[in-house]
This record gives sequence, structure tokens and C-alpha cells, in this order.
Amino acid sequence: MKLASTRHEVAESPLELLEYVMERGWGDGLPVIPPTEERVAAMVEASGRPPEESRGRIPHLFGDATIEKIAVNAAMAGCEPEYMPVLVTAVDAIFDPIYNLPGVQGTTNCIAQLIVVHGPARGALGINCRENLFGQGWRANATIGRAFRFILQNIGGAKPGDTDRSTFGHQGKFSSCIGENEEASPWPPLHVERGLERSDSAVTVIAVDPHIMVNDAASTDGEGVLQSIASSMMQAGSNNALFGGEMVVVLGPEHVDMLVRDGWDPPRIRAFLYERGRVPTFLFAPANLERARGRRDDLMAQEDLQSVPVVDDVDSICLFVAGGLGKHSLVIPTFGNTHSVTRKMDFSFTD
Amino acid sequence: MAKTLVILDPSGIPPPMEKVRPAARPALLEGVRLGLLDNTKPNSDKLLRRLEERLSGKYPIASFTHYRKGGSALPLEEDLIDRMSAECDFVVNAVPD
Repeated sequence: MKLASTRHEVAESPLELLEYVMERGWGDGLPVIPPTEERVAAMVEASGRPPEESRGRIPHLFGDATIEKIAVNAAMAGCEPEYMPVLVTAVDAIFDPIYNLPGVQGTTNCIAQLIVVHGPARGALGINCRENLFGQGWRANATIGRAFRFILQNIGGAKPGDTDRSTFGHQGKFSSCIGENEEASPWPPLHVERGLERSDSAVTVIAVDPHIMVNDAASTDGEGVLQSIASSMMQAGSNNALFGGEMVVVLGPEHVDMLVRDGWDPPRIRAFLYERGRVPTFLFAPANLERARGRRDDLMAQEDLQSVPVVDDVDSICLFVAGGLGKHSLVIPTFGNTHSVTRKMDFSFTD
Repeated sequence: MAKTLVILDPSGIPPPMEKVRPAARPALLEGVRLGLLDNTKPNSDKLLRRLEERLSGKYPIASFTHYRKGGSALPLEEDLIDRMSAECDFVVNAVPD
């Protein structure tokens, strides 16, 4: 296999390798795995694609996201070769104009680019969908998310503190990759709602702000749980209140059990959250409400506006089930000027 | 020397740089058609209105036309670029906060 990347001769010592990588702005501060020719070739091979194939140019610097460059970054992040289809599909997804990649890469906002994996790939690759899925402890989650950030940073050129000028950053910029907990509900998983088959493996990418955890262990019915979630969506200072766009709601399995028992399904849940999650106008700073009106002409033309929806429309609530036991759900606001993108993995996995 | 290994460079290769000559600047403001582009960031409209007030008292500018992007975080719309090209001799873009 012919690989075109520039070669660098480095000391074998892990510490010296880390220093070398950090000096060149390639790292995230944590130790890396050396992306040797042998390791990168294995990654390319597992992708099933030729190394020179370009999947697109990633802003800011419009570096060419070839299979080989995706593979180098995956190797450096510590991925196993079989994770490659997830990364290639996630890279494809961010080029959809509704994702607004130039805005996401260039903003001062606190954005992590979250990968959600659906279908048999989760089991085949060992992607955690349950307890602590956003946290540490699972190699697939940790290294796929890390590799994705390396791709955005090293191929796209979004260098922290330099071309990536996020005011605060986001913990999820180290790594953000989870699986949907499809087994915890009788509802169709997100990729099936979006037109794919349950047997398909797929990836959803979402440009997310920091999470808001919803703690409701007191409600004994589904409506109570949904009211707690709706009130957590109601943030007058959020991008979603200002710009609409899409918001993510991750339902924890124990909340799902109550919702299922009480006859709720995703369309009804979305409709409830859309209405109850609206932000009353009195919660806005006046100038910020004026800004929201200016940006959301269709909604803001009303003279007697009492409340502002936090998403463009009812279908812009990206709803799925994930996590483990505990009476919790998550609200994840987004960049606002963005929508999530779901793409089928052109690769079959056996769970 | 300590043992070494060879690693591959993870950086993306940017497209070849293309030299672009900036559009010609009008030598005088007299008679020019001036576009004022609001990028939707707070106060950019105020800045542009103030600019119009100050310039119009001082120079014989033919016209001021105000434009507004769909959103500061969104790419400038192609049809807006075409309209500004057709309607203006030059454009001032305000990017405040």
C-alpha cells in the first residue's frame, strides 16, 4: 500500500513522542499512539477504501480528508482498525450543508461534535450505550471521539487557541462518541425514524453545547418526567432560544419505562416538549429578545409574543434513548445554527 | 542514539493557494454606489447607520443600500453576493458584537 503522508523520524520513547506531537500542534495533551506506516495501513485496509480517496475538504484550512489522513489521526488516537467506517461516515456527514461546518469550526461558542452510533456496529465495535456512556472507560467511545477531534483539528486546521477560538472550549472536545441504547425502548431508534433499516449501522453527528442533566426521581408518571425535561430546555440565554435550530433530548431508560407504560411515543413526546419547552419572553434580557426577533422573523412577527420555541419546529427535537439505570435524562442544547445529520455506514457489521 | 520509529504526518494538505487580485477600489467616493452589509451580530446595524450618516454629510455618494446576511454563523448567500455585485461599487461589512 502506497501512503503519501510526510514521514517523521521520532524517538521511540512515549514521552518524547508526546513532546514531538504537542510541539507541532497535532495533539490534545494526552499521550498518543505512534501512527506508524504499518498501523496506518491496517486502518486504511479496514476502511475498505483506497488511501488517496478524498471524502471532502474540512474548514478552516480546507485540508483534504483522504482515507489515509483519517487513518493517521485514528491511529494516533488509539483506534482499532475496525472503527474506521464510523469515522469515515462521520466525516461524510459533517459536509451536509445543514450541519453548517464552517460555522461550527469557527465559532467562539462551546461546541463539541458528538458522534452517535446506531445499529449493529455498536455491539460489533464495543461502543457503550449504557452507564457512563459520555464518560471514560470504553476504548471505542474514547478513541473514536478523540480521533474525530484530531481530524477536525489536524485536517481541518481548527487549532485550539489559534484558529479554534472557542471562548471556553468543551470537555467533549477531548472525545464525544456514544451509542444509542436501542434495546431500552420499544420505539424505533433514531436512524430508523430517519428512514434507515434497523439492521443498518449508522452515525449521527451533532454540534452540541454542554449538557444539562435532568434529575427527576420524584415523578411517578410520564408527563411529570416530560415537564422536568421541558423546563430544562427553557434557557433564555441559549443558542437555541436565540436562533432555533435543533436540540437534543436523551431519555434515560428508567424515564423511558414510565413513558412507555403511560402510552407516550416519540412523536407525542416531541409535541409536548416543543410546547412546554418554550421560553417565556419575560425571561429574556430585552436586547437579547430583540436579537432573537431579528433572527427568527417567521416566529417573531407576532406582536403579542409570549414565548419563544427553542427549536425550528417540532421535528427539530433530536430524541433518542441512551444511558443506564437512574431516574435521569439529558437535554443537550446545540449551536443553534445547525442540524444533526444521520448517515448510513457503507459497511456491514455482525453484532 | 536512542531507538527511533517513523510516523506519518496527520496534517491535512490544504488546496494549492491561488493568488487573487483584490477588486479595484474607487479612487473617489463621488458618485459611487455604496453597499452596507449587516452580518446580524448585535449592533452591526447601528454601526452601519452611523457610517451612512457620517459619510452622507461629507461625500457626494450616489446611493446607500443596506443588506443583511441570514446569520453571522452562516455562509453569505450566493444570491446576496450577486445582488451586491450588481447594485454596488463597493461594500462595507460590519462585524461587531
